[in-house]
Amino acid sequence: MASTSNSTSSKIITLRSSDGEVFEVEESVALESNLIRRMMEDDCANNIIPLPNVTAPIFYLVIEHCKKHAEMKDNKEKKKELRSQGEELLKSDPHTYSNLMEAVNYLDIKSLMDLTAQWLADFLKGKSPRLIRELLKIKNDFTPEEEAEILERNRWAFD
Amino acid sequence: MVTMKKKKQACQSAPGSVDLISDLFEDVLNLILVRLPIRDVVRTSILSKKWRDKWISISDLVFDNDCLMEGASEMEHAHVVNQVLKHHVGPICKFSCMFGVPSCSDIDRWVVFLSRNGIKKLTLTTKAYANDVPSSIFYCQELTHLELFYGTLKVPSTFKGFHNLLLLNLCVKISEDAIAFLISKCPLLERLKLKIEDFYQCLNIHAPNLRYFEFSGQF
Repeated sequence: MASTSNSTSSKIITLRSSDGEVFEVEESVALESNLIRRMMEDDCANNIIPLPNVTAPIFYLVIEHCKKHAEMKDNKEKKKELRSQGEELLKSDPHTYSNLMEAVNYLDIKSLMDLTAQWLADFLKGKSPRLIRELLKIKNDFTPEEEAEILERNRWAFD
Repeated sequence: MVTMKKKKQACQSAPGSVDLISDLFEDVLNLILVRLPIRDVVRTSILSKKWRDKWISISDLVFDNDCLMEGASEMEHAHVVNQVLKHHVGPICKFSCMFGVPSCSDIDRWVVFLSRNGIKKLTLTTKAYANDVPSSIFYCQELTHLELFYGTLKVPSTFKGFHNLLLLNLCVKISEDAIAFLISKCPLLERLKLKIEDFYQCLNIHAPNLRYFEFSGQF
């Protein structure tokens, strides 16, 4: 497994997720992550790089989106397509969205930070608080009095 | 290319009833909120107790006609800015006010507040050329971007310079001496756009790092 990691043309980086799965990823993809880049600069590259804060299913998603993002460069249609995928994910599985966002933040991948942040922003935009709560499973824990106070404090935003 | 040593296809999540989004890190949440119109940002405060105060530390505040109340007056818009700034806590990186603010004292109060909160990108629009741009903008020492629309700009002789300013966009009344002085005090300036109301005889610009220059005005 490690023998491929030293080839010069298409270097492979080996990473291990928090749940012990081992991934072999092209260097160009892995270097999208500033965290992995720093680890490699610190000369951890010949060993398996541990990612104690990312599970395998989420890391798989991260890699997929890194590749998609690389493919879509200068392609407006693909860019639009990728941006619109957030709505679906947030509606069907906000839990995975949160894990993905946290993983992307931890791995420090700028392009995916922008993308996943845009997903949630697009999702929240123009929706009523009631609908947002329902879709994202947010529990309204205000008393009616507290809710009234917040509405009053920024009435302009709720009219 | 990705290969997984142990193939695992589906991305299983924990039970769908759990709300994790409310617990995202503050800096992550800021990235999300700065992409929303300010109205939607403030509306998140009603979602739950965890969300109540998340909006108050947002780093970018953009007030344009699209994100405020349709058909509202400029006075009402200014009231909204007052409300938002009154509650805001923490550093503010960007502040854009795209509607013509009728009251100079409002602008002055905002700019003093922003100057104490590390403002870096500032866009202000005054109501008319006759209104003075408050000299408090010269307190904003950390500015990298400054855009001023309308108003009359006077540069105090004690002005020490914007040492980090990269972009300057002025559409104001300003004397040729004042503008030459202002620009000479911005050593890193790279982009300069001037739309000047006054007639100039001669414009001296000393900006060793200038890469883009656009001028509209009359000599």
